[in-house]
Amino acid sequence: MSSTETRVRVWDIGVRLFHWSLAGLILGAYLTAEEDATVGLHARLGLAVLAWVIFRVVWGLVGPAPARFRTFVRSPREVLAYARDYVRGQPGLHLSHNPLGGVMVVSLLALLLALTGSGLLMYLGPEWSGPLSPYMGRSLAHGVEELHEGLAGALPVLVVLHVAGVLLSSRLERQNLVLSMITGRKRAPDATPPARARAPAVVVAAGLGLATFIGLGLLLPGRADAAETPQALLQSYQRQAEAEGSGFAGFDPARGKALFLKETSGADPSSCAGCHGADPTRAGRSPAGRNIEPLAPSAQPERFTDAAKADKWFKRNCKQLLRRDCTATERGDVLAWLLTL
Amino acid sequence: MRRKMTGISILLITTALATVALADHGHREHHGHRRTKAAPTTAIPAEELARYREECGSCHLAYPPGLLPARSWTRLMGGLDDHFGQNAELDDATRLELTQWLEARAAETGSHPRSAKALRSAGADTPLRISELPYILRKHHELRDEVFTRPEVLSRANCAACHRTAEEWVFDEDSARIPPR
Repeated sequence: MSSTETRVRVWDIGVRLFHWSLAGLILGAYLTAEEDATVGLHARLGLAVLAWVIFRVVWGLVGPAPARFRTFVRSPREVLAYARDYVRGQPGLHLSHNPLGGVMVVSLLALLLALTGSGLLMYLGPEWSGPLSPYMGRSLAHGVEELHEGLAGALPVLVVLHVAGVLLSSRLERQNLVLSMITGRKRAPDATPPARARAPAVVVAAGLGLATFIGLGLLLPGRADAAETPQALLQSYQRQAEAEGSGFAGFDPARGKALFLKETSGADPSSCAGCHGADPTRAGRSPAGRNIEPLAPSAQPERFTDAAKADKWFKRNCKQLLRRDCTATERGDVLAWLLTL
Repeated sequence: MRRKMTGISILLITTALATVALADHGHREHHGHRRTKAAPTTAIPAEELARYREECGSCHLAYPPGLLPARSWTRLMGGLDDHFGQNAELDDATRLELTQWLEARAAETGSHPRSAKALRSAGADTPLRISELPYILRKHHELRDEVFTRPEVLSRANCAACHRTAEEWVFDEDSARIPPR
């Protein structure tokens, strides 16, 4: 075969590892996106995607010549000219990505950056009781979520176009481009000398990607675990309380107990204790006769380990008894009291 | 004499074996009978049932969707901020998801053995309480009002106070036991 003689090493190990890791991580992220049980894993996979994307951007600036944006990002005029040749079935050979492929690489990287960025914002926001909760309003949090879901819907479209382009190009160029992304070798358009990466650049890029991954990875499990204890929920209420008013001076268990026992005339049941019972270490009873597990975490360890659930019940019951939602200070007071029992 | 003893022994052994065999047969028949009456909950995927119980079963029994017409579930789920005097608000996404889930299993779909009777009983009305369906009232007409205010019962909504298999959506009379006053 004559083509083997002109094959040169094009894709360095960084580009190849990036490509296939990304494919696997994205597949995993899609499979774990919907269920509550896997959403923690989904967030970690998304973070790994972000780290790889950052690595690729750095690699596109300092990496070996074929990996650089300067090599494969072409002017609109060149892209159009290439597209015309492509439609005619006679595209020229390019050592790196062809001009249309370049458009695809940039689009995918930009989309993934926005997708993982919005996901990270969701993770740090109110949905997960993250550190940005006090600074993100409901509408902003909702907007970020909509954006994340919209972009997640657009990504498969780009992926399908990408795969279709690779298969079509493989046919037109009579070489297996999928295999090239594994072996790193492609048919050279002419006697192109193989590109070599400068050692410092490799170290810089790999270091940056790794540092990002480790840094964000450390941040993530910490948050995921933190949101799963009553103490962490209390801290989240504290951050919200500090953001709500300037006069916040800590939670007061006595105030929380008073609120819990406070009677509201005209309401039935007329207080928190009306259903939960005056002693939260023991079970209560709903108006429909249903047993309610003890509210105190010391008696029922699953209590206040799910921020969304706590939020739902505070909201319902506060509206029922106070005709308004409770403040973060009031929630914190009650939880602080329950934690003393 | 010896032959007589042998005859009696054979007779006794045969009788004993037949008794055991018959008893075993009866035992199996009983089991088979139970199995054909599988609880209506077994027709629902476990995850969906768990989710329904989580959202709707904290304050009251997670009632069988098949005991109210779809229009009842639609109206009920549209007024959760005043749910028989209680605030039972859900976020919009959960509310819509559950509404569709309930509508898809409403009495019209025959998802419960008593669906047809409940649906006919509702007539042209849009009942919001299963306990106020004429059919359900008729089934409980022997019980004085006092029974429903007993401490262990508390409310007509508390099916499980008497119906031990209410969680499985089985409301047979023979599995019901009325708590003492």
